[in-house]
Amino acid sequence: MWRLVREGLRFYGRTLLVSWAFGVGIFLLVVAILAVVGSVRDRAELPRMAAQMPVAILIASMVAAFIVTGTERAEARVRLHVMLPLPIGQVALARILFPAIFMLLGLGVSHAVFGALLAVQGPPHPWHRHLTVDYVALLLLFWIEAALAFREVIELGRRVRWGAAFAPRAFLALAVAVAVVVQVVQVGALARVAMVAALNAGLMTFTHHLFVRRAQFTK
Amino acid sequence: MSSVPAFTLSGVVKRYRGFTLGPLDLVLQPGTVLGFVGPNGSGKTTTINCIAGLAIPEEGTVEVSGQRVDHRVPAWKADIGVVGETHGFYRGWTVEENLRFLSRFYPGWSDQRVTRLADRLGLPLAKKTCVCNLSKGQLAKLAIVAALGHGPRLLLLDEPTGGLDPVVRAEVLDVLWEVLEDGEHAIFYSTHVLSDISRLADELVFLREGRVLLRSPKDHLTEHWRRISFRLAEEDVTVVAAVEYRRVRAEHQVVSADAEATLAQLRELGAESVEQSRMTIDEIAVAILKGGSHVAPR
Repeated sequence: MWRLVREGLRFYGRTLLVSWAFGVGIFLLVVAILAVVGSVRDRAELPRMAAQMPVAILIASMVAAFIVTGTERAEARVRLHVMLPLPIGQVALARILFPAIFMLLGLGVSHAVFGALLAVQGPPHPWHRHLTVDYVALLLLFWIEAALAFREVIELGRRVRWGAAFAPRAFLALAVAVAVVVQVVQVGALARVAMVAALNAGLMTFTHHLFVRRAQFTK
Repeated sequence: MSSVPAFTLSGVVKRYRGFTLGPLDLVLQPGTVLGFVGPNGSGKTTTINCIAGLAIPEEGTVEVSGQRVDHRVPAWKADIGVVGETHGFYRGWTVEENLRFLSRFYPGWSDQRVTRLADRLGLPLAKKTCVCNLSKGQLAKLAIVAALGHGPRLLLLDEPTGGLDPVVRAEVLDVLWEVLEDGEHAIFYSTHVLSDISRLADELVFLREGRVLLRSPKDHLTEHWRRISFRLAEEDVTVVAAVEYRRVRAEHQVVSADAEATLAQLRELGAESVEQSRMTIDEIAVAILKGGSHVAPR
């Protein structure tokens, strides 16, 4: 399984780096434009704005993960991977872990940047804690995993009647609803992170379960 | 030579909306080439997908080299190579990188074999050619090299020469011919191009609307199938072994699946101006596939 993930990283590593470069580049460009043409008030807000660079890196990681999952689908990679002499559970795990690893790498870089910003700017800070970075990363990962789960539900819907696919559809809809509620509910930061992490774990298990029970692995 | 069948399909049924494949019972012995012939939508690709584990049948069992096709226990996958219309290669990688990727997963992978096959097919291994820049012919060659790199006992070919020019097609068929030399390999070959099959196949299976119409050794077909014309005054005549029958006034024309039996019957009936002609595999295939389900009983 790790061999499959490692090979994937070897192939898509450049995509992640380019995405980060674009994300950070666009972010810095906006800051630079505001610094040059912005009002006095805008300029005063620049340090606060610059502190949001970790989010730009996380969004760039998410974009890269979406590009990867789209490319994998377009190039019918599931066919190639399923034909490899690996247990199907490992192939399924590699598929769901791969975007998570992208987000994990993005999270590492974001924490480093965040730490650097804290050191340079010092508190007070709009991003009070590292935990907030974790929360954003997990939330973005949720939407990637939700897209993968959605594809599996569509695949299931192709071979069973509407009624038989109802429970997986309902589960996915519920997971999305809970993800929305978690964002607005009044709970502590740690509880919020734990909830989104649990939601991700549940969704990944769900996608894994549907993939290993697939009856069709062609495109 | 191993006596374990390359694959066994027992009562396989695969259903899609508006289409059912099977029940299908097929066995392929090592060292043989089974040509799989049928019109578009007859279930050829679905059959190959069932054998390769890319489609899971609703009923029946599939075995490859005596091992049940089960994705949880994947040892059987090392025994098959698949060449299909889609392949799943990493388009951003070079030919060499794609082959190296595969080599990391197959214990039986042989770089020597790959180099020999690539040289034989004229596939640019050394050049840093990106898969996205390969022509259709080169992509087909890569698919064949990739499928044979780990030395599988069973090669599943789904229209491998579709859309290729005659030169590339001949190269591919030459390589497949060489693969069969050791008698250990078995090839399941699905195609529309019957000239390919007439060169390679030992046996032919004709499929229509998900069902096998006929399975026969190729030589048997070319030896026994004849187009026969004769004159007979009788209007209603049931010709033995006739797959196709046409009558224009006193002139009768039949396609016979057993020329000897038909000719013996015609002699008994006192038919005149009896003429027979050999049929090509193409003509036989058209007669069988047009004849449909009544081919076998006659």
